[in-house]
Amino acid sequence: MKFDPVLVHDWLTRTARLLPDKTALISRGQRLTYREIEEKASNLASALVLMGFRKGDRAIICLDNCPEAVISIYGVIKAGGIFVAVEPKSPWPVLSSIIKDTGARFLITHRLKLFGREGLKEEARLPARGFQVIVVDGSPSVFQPCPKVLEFSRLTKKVESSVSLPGLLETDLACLVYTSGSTGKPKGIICTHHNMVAAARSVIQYLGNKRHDIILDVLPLPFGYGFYQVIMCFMFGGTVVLEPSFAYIQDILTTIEKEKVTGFPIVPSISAMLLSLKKFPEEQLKSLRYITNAGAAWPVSHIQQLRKLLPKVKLFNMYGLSECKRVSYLPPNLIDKYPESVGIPMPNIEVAIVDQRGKPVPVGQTGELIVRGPSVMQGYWRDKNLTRKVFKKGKYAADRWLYTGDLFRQDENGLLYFVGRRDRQIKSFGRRINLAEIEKTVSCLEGVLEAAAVPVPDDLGGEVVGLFVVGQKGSKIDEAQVKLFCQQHLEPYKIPRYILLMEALFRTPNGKVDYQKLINFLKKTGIKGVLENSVEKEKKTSEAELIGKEQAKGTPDKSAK
Amino acid sequence: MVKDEIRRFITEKFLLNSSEYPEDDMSLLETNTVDSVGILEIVGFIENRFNLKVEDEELTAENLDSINKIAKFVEKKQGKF
Repeated sequence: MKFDPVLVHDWLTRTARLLPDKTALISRGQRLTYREIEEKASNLASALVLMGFRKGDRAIICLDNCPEAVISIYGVIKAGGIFVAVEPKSPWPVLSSIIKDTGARFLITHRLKLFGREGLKEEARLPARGFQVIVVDGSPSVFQPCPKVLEFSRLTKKVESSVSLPGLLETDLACLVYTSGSTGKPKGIICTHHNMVAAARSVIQYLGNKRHDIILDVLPLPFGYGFYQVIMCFMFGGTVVLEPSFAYIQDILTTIEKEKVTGFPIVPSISAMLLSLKKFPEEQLKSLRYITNAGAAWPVSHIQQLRKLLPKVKLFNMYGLSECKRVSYLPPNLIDKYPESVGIPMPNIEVAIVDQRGKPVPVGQTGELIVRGPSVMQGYWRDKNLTRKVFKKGKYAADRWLYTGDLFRQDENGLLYFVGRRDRQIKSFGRRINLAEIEKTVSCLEGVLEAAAVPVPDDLGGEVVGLFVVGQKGSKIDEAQVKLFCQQHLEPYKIPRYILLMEALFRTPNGKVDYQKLINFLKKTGIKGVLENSVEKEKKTSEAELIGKEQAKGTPDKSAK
Repeated sequence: MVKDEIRRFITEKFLLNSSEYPEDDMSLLETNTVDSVGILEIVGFIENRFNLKVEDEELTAENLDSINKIAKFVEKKQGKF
């Protein structure tokens, strides 16, 4: 009798045995077969063990989307380690604090992250003793060689001496994900092999992935949504096309067409970009079987437009959080009728919506979403207090509920609706306002591509709403129209006091709206400053104060009270 | 010169906190100098500054992924090539 593997990397080994010559990964002009990836990852694991890497050690993978990043993930877990994928754009102080927090002894990164033209960068101060850096190729000729640094390409070559890799349990840790976009200290989410395999299995099941699927992954690998595409694909034996970004949208479209991509996981900024093209590229997208959305709420206007433009493509609206990877998905056949819903719990996940005392709320009422199942994380890295705070214990060890901090309601059909983050509520003149609700409302206005609401301090009201609006390409939307629409669709106390038109929103590397940056932008310039600047800007395109090409305009709205 | 203006824009906008000096032929994306929003900002800049229109089909790495490439692209659009 044969059983399915229980370790993440054993699934790769299995697929490499079944489909050795199939293309597993297409990235940076390389096409790697399952056999090649399996071999390189095993060689890297052996090399790591030879260098003293031990079971449970952490290795930081600070790489763009490239073949080496994928090989590193599998190499580290094969060596019994925990991989910590970190956004390569992270500034050095952040990277240093993650190195310190994780106690990692290995760092795999781009040469450019460490070296400038003058040699090792001054800010790249690494822990001195027992710390090993591995660099991925990138025009080494430009830079001076540095003896303390190992070349990645040499470590993935066949090792002669036999090395025994450590035996692992599915309950051993496999990854540590730092959550992004949040303020204050980043939280490290820890997951076992079992957590990851369980999550991947459930998602594969509802997406109906088969070997012929070709997945385009433009999401950063440090983002769970990004690296799970690879984990899943290597389980069902498909092909991943890994791209560093979707910035050059025309290149992405060409790739989809050329590689006959069938699955395209996106975040709303990607659908925004696709829909802003003057001519929608349906011809280039004709190989697609499905598009999934996660990371942030999918604006209904995007869903409706994509349904019209790509009627044969299944659209999966999904919801999840790093703490448990994925929670729910809307079966695509329901999307026309319930475009605002994030659907039903995925297989092997149970949810409940509870009030502040932890009691289930009646159907239709808003409460906090709690989640239970094998894909829920083990806790936060070295933070027992925070871990204790988000879990409620049940009758036995595995019976525990994760408190997501997200507000939800469920309709009479059992469909779930995301209402907002618990902490995205503000109090204005003594009344609670959910910022997500404002955004959702304004997104329904024709000509609006997306909107982001932030709290703005106010002497009288405590806080009032500031709203950033991005218009669709070619639309002549102005703030007066937005204000009028708000007056028509929102209770007076919810109407944004300030409305600013932008050409793009600030985003975190994961593509989520960077609210903190928007708030800082307002703080730095000041509401008044923004208004004054906008007048200046009309006279002259001065970019001194304004970040980006926002056409910051705004009008204090006295009727908002 | 077109190239100088582009270099200045990129340096001031994206490399403020860095001692680095961008190489004219370095990939902007691979060196993490800019991200996808940054690319759009660059497009906005060249459209405004050089009074030209960037078409959807032109949003490619070939046209935009280094200072040299952008300069060449702008000059081509201006009809200098």
